[in-house]
Amino acid sequence: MNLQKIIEMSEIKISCGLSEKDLIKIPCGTTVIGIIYNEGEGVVMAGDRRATMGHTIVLDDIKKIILIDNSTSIGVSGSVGIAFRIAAIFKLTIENFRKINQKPMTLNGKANILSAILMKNFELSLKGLAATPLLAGYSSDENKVKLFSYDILGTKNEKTDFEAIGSGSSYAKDSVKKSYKKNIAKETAMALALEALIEASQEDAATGTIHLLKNIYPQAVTISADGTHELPKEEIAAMCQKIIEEMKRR
Amino acid sequence: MVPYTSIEEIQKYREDRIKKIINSCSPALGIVYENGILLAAQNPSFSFKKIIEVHERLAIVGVGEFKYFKELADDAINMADMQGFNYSSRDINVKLIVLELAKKLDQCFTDLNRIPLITNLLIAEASYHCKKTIFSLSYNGGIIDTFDFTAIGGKEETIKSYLKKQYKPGVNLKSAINMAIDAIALTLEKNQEAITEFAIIDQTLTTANKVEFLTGAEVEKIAKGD
Repeated sequence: MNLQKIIEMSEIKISCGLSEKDLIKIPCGTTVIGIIYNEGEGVVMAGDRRATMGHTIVLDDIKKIILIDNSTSIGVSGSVGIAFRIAAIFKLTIENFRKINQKPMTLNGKANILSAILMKNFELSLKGLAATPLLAGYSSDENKVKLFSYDILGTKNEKTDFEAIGSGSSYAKDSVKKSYKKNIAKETAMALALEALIEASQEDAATGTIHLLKNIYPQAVTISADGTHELPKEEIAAMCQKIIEEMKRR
Repeated sequence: MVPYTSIEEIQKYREDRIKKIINSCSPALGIVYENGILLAAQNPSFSFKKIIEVHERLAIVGVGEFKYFKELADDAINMADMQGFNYSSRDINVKLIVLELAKKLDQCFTDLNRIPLITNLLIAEASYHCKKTIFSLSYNGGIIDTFDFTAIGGKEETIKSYLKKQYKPGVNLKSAINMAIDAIALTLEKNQEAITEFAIIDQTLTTANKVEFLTGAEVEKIAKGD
């Protein structure tokens, strides 16, 4: 089944244009950051949990990092509905390829497919409904981890150190820049990622922070040769407490 | 001048040719055990695998010509993926898939302008509500559903009569694998080796995908020890 058929089957056609007043009514805004550790052995991804619509918070517990299969995951930013639909079509294409060809797709193939899906969405993204994902995966042919970031046209950029997407991305990247080295360990990379999210949430209104009343923490995922693992809430909570105490001492 | 042959003669020629091919190919069988379904097929080729996974709880085995079987398996995969994407993965209706494949097989066999698909298939499902079914489809579109064991391919009657004596409802995986190995050994000639593929649809697995392909080492370990 090729990509054309999959997308035709589930296409939305909008014929009228959206005005500036309407753009505020679509939920968007986020920060998702990915950091490669130990010279390509693995990658760590962390994302916040908030979705805003203009000045109101619509959801405070959505998960923006979607696990596609045992060696890849994508983080989404931009309008929520479009981003989740792109992720569902991406997952369907990869699973279908694996069953018909009886062997899984390589990482470069997945990066190209995501490019094609985003290019199909170009018409809608010009009207304001855009989604820009961040793809991270382990490639077993080359035995290393790769990180790709996309723009609304679908151009892919491969990054070898770290990358962040969303409205709070520049604040997150500023906080990682000074302490990043190529040979850091996994725990240091995870601490850097969570600290970057907390710093971004102080400056950007559309990025969520730790919700003390409902006990909601950021989401964190690691990818390496062993597979994709989502960290449980207790571990993330413990790390966040340590980071906040260190930040208070500065 | 073209000599006249009646339509019945042409159909009989087709049916004889197909039966001859299918009776001379390697067998395949399916056995229902306590936690799911076991599928086994004798396959002397190393490039093409006969057992294909269709969705999380569906698998399909074929005998006969591999090229026609792969076309039907691709149709089944596309139908299951469309249903799973539009609705949800528990809404996949196996009976619709079976009816579509049977329709295609019958049309290709009866219409004189189309090439018959020379293959018999087994479609096995271990559903979410703990119902285990094996559908057996023949080259002319006939459907038979069974809930305990079945076999297709060359010397299927030998395998079926052997399993009828040995089978009890609720066998465990070890007995099912030993039954399958012995049944296939009955159909081999003297100098033929048994190169078998095994796959199980196990309802107790914790991953979403319940279809698991077993390697030779794993099969030996389960058959002897445990």
